[in-house]
Amino acid sequence: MITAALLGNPNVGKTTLFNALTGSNQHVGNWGGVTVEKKEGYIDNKIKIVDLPGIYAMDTYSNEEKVSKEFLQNGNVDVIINIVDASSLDRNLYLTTQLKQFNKPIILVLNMVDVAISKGFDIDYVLLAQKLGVKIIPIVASKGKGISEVKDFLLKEDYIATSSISLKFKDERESYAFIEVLLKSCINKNKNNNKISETIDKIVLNKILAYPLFFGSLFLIFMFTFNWVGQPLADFLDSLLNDSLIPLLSNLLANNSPWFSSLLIDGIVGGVGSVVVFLPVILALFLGISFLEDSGYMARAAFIMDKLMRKMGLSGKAFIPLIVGFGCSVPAIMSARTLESDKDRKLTALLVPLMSCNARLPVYALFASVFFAGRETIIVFSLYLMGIGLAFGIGLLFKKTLFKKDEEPFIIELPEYKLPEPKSLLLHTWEKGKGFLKKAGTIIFSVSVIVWFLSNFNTTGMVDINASFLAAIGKFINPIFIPLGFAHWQNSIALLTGLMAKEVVVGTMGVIYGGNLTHSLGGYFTPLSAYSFLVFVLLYTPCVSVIATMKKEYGNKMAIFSLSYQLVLAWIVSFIIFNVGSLIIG
Amino acid sequence: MEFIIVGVIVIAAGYILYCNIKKQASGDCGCGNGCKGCSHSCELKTVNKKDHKIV
Repeated sequence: MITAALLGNPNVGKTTLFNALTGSNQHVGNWGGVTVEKKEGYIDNKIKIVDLPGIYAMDTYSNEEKVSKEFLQNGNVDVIINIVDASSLDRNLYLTTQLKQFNKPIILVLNMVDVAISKGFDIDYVLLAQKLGVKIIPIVASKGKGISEVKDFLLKEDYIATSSISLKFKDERESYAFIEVLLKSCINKNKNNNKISETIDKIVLNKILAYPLFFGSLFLIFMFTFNWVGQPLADFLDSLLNDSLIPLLSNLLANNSPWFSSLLIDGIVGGVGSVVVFLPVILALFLGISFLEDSGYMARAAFIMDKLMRKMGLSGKAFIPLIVGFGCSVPAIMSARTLESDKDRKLTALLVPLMSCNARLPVYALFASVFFAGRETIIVFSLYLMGIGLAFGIGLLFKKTLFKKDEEPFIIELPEYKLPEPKSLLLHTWEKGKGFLKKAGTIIFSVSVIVWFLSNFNTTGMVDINASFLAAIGKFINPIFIPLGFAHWQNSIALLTGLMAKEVVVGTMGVIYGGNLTHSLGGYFTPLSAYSFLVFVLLYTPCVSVIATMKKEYGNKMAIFSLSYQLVLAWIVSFIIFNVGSLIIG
Repeated sequence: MEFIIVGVIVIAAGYILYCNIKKQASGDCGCGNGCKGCSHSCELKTVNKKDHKIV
C-alpha cells in the first residue's frame, strides 16, 4: 500500500481535502507520546493518507512539528501531498522548500485558486511545477473542484516526475529569497483587483471613522437581533408555548395527580421551554456576527481595537481571544495560548469571561423584553459594552499591578473583503443553534427536573415551595444579594444553578416562577433591580467549564483567583448600579 | 404508574446532570460542537482541546 503524508499550513483547507479524498474511511487516534491528533484515511484501500498537523515550518520544536518531521523521516512515506493557499504562496511555499529536503515526491495542491484569481493572481502552473520539481494540481476544496484529479493522480502511483529537482537552502533567508524570485517569474499580478478592498479599507480603517463604524456595525447587529428579527420571533414562540402548548398539556393531564402534571408542565415544559423560545435570538445574533467574520471585517475589527488596547496598556494580540469570548469562554481561554508571553496569556484568560458569551443571551433577551420593552437593543448593547469597558479597565489595573510586562507586536493578515456565502453563514449560525438546543436537551432539562424536585419536596415529602429544600438553600445565600436589589431567594437560586450554564438561569426561573415569565417576573424585580441582575449575570463566573479550563491551562491558583475576582467584581458593579440608580431615581 | 414515570424522569435527569458535570469538569461547555464554532473568528486556528500543553 502507498503511504501519502498530507501536510500544509493551518487554515489552508487540509481537513477539507482529507475528508474529500477519504470520505468516511478514516481512523482517528493520537501520535505516540504526545497529545497531537493522528488521522488516517484510505482511498480504495490502495492509498493510505496520513493527515499531519497543520504547521508553518519544520524548524521549531512544537509537538506538531516534531511529529511531522519524524513521520516524514521514519514513516515509510511514498509521496507528500503538500496543500497550499494559492492566494498566499509567498508564505505557504516556505514549508514546501523544507519538504523538498526530504527527497520525496511532492504533489503540490494549490487550494483556493478562485480566491487567487479574484485577487488578480495569474499563476503559471507549468513553470512553477518545473522550477520546484513537483506535480501541481489546482483545486477549490470547498467546492469540490479538482479533488478527482488529486485522487486519480494518487491512484496512478507514478510519482517519479514529481521529484526531479532537489532544493537545499542554508537558512530561512535563502529560502525566502528563492521563493520571491520564483513567484516573480511564475505569477502575474493584476493590481486593479485589490482596489475594492483598498478603497473599503480607506474608509473602514480611517482614524476618525474606524471606531464609529465598528460600534455602529455592532449596534446594527443588535437591532437585527432584538428589534427586527430575533426577539419578535422569540415572542411569537413564547406566546405559542404559553397560550397554546401549556394549556393543551394542562387539559391532557387534567385527570392526573397535580404533582405529576406539575413535573411535566412546570418542571420540564416550563424550564426547557422558557429557554428554547430564545433560539431565534441566538440565531439572529450569530448570523450577524458570522456575516462580519466571513466578509473579512472581523480581522479589521481586531486591527482597529489593537490601537485602543495598546492605549489601555494591553497587548493587541489579546483581542482575538476576547472576540472568541463572545461565542464561548472555554475556547477563548484556550486560544490565549497563541500569545507568546506567559503573563499576557494569563491576563487575557482572566479578562475573557468579561466578554459576554452567547449563553447569557436568553437571560438578557428575557429581562430586556419584560422590563425594557422598546429599548431592548440599547439595554443589551450597553451590557456588551460594559463587558468590553470593564475588560479594558481591569486589564489596565492588572497590567500595572500583577502582570507588568512589555507589549508584544500584533501582526494580523487582513483578508480581501468578500460577500459571505449564504451556505457558510447558515452553517456557522446553525452550529450555534444546534449547540443551544443540545444544551436545552441535556443541561437545562436535567437542571429543570432537579430544580422542580427540590422546589416541591423536603424531608417530610411534597410541600409548598417556600418550605422546600430549594427555599432553604436560597434563603441561606440570599442575604448576599439583598444590597444588589434582587432580594428574593428564587433569584439567588437561579444565579446558583446558572453556574452550570447561563441559560439555566432562565430555565430555573421558568420552573420556580411558573412557565409564563413575561407575566410573573414583574412581581420580583423593578427595572433597576432587573438591570442590576443582568449586570451580575454579565460579570459573575460564566460556568463550571470555564473554571475547569482555567484550572487545566493555568493551575488551581489562577482558577480560584479568576472565580473570586469575577464574583467580587460582579457584586461591586451591581451594587453601584443599584444604589446609585436608586439615589438618582429617588 | 405516575410514580414510576416521575422516578424514571428524575433518575434520568440526575444521571444526565452527573454526566454533564463530569464533562464540564474536563473543560467541555456541553454544546457538542467542539471549540471549532467559537474559534471561527478571525480565521483562528482551531484549538486542539486535547493539547493543553503550552509549547
